Amino acid sequence: MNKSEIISGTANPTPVAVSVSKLEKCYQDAAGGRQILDGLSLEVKGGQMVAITGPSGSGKSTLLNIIALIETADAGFVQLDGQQVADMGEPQTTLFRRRRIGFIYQFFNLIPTLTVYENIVLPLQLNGIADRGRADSLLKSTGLFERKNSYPDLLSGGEQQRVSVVRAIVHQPPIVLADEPTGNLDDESGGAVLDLLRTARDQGAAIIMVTHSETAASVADRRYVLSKGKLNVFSSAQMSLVR
Amino acid sequence: MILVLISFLREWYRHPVQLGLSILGIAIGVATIVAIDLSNHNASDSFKKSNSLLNGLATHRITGGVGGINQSVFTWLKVEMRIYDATPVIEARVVIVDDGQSVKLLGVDPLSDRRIRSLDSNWGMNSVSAFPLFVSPSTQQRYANIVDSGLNLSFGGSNKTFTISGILQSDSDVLDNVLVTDIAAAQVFLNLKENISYVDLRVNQEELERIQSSLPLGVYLTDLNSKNHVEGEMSRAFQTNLEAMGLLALVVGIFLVFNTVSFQMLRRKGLFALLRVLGLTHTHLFALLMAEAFLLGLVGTILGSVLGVLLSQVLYGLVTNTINTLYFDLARQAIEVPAFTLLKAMLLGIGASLLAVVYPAWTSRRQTLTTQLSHHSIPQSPLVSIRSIWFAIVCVLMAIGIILLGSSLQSAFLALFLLIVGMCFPLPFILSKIAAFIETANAFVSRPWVLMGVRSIRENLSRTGLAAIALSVAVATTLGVSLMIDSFRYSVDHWLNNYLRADIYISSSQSDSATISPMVLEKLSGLDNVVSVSRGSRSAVQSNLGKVDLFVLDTELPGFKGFQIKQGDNKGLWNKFRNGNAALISEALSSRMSLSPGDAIRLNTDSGFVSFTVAAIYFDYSSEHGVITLHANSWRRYNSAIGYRSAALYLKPNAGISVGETLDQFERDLNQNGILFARSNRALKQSVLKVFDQTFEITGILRLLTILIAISAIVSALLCVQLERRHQISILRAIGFTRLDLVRSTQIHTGVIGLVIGVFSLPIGIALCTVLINVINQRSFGWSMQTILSPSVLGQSLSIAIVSALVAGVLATLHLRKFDIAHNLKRD
Ligand SMILES: Nc1ncnc2c1ncn2[C@@H]1O[C@H](COP(=O)(O)OP(=O)(O)OP(=O)(O)O)[C@@H](O)[C@H]1O
Ligand SMILES: [Mg+2]
Repeated sequence: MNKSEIISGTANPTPVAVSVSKLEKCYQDAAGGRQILDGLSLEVKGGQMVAITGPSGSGKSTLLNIIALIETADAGFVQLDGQQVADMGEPQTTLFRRRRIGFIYQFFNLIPTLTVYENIVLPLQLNGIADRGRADSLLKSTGLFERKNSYPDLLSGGEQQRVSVVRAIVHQPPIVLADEPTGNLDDESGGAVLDLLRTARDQGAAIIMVTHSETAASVADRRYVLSKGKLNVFSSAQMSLVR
Repeated sequence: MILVLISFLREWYRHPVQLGLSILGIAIGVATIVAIDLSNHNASDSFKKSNSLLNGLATHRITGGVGGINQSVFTWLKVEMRIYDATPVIEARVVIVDDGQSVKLLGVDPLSDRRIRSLDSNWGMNSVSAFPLFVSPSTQQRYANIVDSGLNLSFGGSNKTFTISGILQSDSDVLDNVLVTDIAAAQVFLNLKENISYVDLRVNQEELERIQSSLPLGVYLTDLNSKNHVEGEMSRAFQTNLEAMGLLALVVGIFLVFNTVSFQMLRRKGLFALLRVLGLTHTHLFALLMAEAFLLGLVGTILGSVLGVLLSQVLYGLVTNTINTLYFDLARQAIEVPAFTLLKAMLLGIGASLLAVVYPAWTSRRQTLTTQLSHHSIPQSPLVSIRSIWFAIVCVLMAIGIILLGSSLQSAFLALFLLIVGMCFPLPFILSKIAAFIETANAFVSRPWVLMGVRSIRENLSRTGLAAIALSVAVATTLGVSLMIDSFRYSVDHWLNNYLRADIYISSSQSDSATISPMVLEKLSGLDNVVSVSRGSRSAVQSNLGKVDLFVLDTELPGFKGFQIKQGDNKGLWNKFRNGNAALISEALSSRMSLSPGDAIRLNTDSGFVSFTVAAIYFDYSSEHGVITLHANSWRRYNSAIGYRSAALYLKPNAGISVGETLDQFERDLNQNGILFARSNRALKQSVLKVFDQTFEITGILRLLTILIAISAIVSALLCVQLERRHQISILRAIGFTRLDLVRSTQIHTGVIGLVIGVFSLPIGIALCTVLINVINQRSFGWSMQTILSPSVLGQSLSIAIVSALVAGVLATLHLRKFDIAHNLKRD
């Protein structure tokens, strides 16, 4: 039994979507090497949402980037949807990301030259999914349908973030990664974003969300704190440490 | 994939200025290459066409000295050699009195000429004039109103009225500057007695050998098809210049295209990374970008080709004008666009565009997506690296190696290319260091706009670096060429001052072939105030090393002092020159035939081959082929008579009579018929320098063109940077930068770049000039010259760089006037 199973307590029949262990990541800068991740392990199953908090600069985004296969760890194992990513090369990693990962950024990162609708359809198109029904229904349920032909820069921050969440889940990826998805939003917009994520979880996606927001974290099934390169189960005592 | 494509297209649609600038950048690059290529090609093509039309089927030409040959040579060819495809020709420059135009008069024998040329005409079957004239259709039209009374021609002071008796059929305008008459009329009009200019013939190998073995003395056979013949007529200085400028255009053009496309790659880096994160594979993205670059390259190349063809019309006109005034009557033709030029343009335009995609795509493979996604890190350009210094050193060393080891002109050009590009390469690195230095210095005054200005230099070097290199290549090359021409002119001027010691120079007014009659020569010394007269005759003779130009000079010590000796013992030289068999040879001849003092050269005289000793080598810019100078005393020993073609008068100094008065006296007493042409020392110098300046006029225009193109490169790069900085600018505006602050910081940005390019180009230009003078000119002409670093030329190139950068800055800040801060703040 590994550490995360101890943490999650019970053995669950649903498959493990994300499993990382003994991750090491070190960045070189002027002052020398800085160990950001130091033997970090985490396991998330389909239909689970975990929230990660931690001080700024502790390596939360780095961890998400590694899981999203847009950065590599120095050492350790990453297993996604039952596949060892170490065995994958280019373009397999890209194809994997395209199909099975949705990513939400703090600063939206929508493609400015595509309309709202086109931004959302893009993942479907990349994955060869002809059915646009899901895009439409998601747009309607998020109240963005009227704006579907607008360009992102004409949308408010909250609207942009909803679009970027929809873009991340429209092709029903088994893994959704969110980096402070509500960080720039008011409570109402943030609530809408969390609703979307919850829906995705209920449909079986494994969700890892980095957040500083108590409201957002409370939606999660489990909460961790990233500090000194490792994940620790959240407790109120640590909470005060973070603050 | 469709959406990815759409996102690409919309990106362009949203940034029409960027798209326009990219296409324009490629187009200008291609246009330069095409224009210079076309004007060079067409000039040499019309040169060849003119030549072949005038030479017809002739394979060889029999010529004599500059005075032509006796007509008996033609008889000898026909009767004794049994060569039937041969025709005698008289050629001279005459003036149409009615409008003062100078044209070529050809005297031909209609009967035999048909076997060589197809100057189709009925040869005036209905004409009864003793002086018939056959002209091209357009000439006939031009003089239609005076045709009835006939055309007045003037040569050597004598006039004659010719009757237009027939029209020459030709679809080219080669014949527009040519008048044809029959050979007898020409002989009489030009007062040639029994002489003709040359005989054109068509012979096979067997006949050729037959003629060669029994060629009379003083008569030479030239191969009309040999490359030397064609090239020999057009100045090599001129051609070398065009070639060098063509090479420069190529370099700058490629830089421009590459810069343009790679800029657009960098600009959209974030978009590409985003698409990759969403799952677009590297291969897909690469294919898309290649397709895009191909399209951009294609459109740019097509546009550039059209632009280039238009531009070449202008250039071609200039080139042919220069050639016409200096060397040869050129047929002006409609610009011909050879497929090869277009192919080359395509290859370069599209090739450079594709290359500009391959490089960043290849490097981004090794970067993590996270670094590519981050907008705010300073992009690491490979240009901004200490390695660029090493690259420069390697290039310079290679150039030096090539110069030392190679001896051909091509290798010298290669070295030149390596030198320019290599030395300009570290510019971005140096710029970044200087910007960092200013930033540190600014810490003491802490003006935020200075900080932003120099900071944006560093931030944007990956975008502006190549354009900066291109501008410095252009400025440095221009500087190098200007310095070279300046030094050249100075050396020629200096040489003329020393060489031309006499007060008055006399030669035939119309043709070099005419000799001055001995009677006139006698009388020259009788003119008031004349102390001494020297006489000279320049003609071609056969030597053991091939044909050489011989200058036979009958002079006293003052004339001899005009020779600036480069190599050889000066002591007792005058004595050896006047009394022994000592020859002086010009620098060009010495390097062309590798002759040094002490060597012997054998010349064909009336008494067979005679050996002369090279006593000294002197500086001389009068001929690229080189000259051998002998005193008349030496030459007379082996030849019956010397026909002098020029004379120089030395006047008594401070005699109270001006040069003008002696000139007047000469015209009045000895030159009533205007056969001779007398000029004062000053007038002769001026006319030589005028020819010099004309030769390099076209280079000046090409230089200007290159500079303009390089400036447009830097302007468009800075403009793009400015457009791309919108987000940053909006943040700056939001936190309190005034518009003036932004303008200032932009001017700091561009001004520093301009200043650095200007200063940086100085040593490169000087190095270039050194190579041009000491290697290229040496190898192509064998002329050595002093290197003159004129401050005005240096200052000029410095100001070109600075002004162009500042103009770029002004253009780049124009858009700030209606800048929407809130809007730009939101979009990143
Ligand atoms: N490419 C990089 N090179 C060097 N250092 C990096 C790089 N990317 C991140 N870092 C450093 O790694 C550390 C962790 O970065 P990361 O972005 O993962 O932090 P974070 O926990 O997401 O912080 P925040 O809550 O502020 O977003 C930071 O100190 C950052 O400076
Ligand atoms: Mg982060």
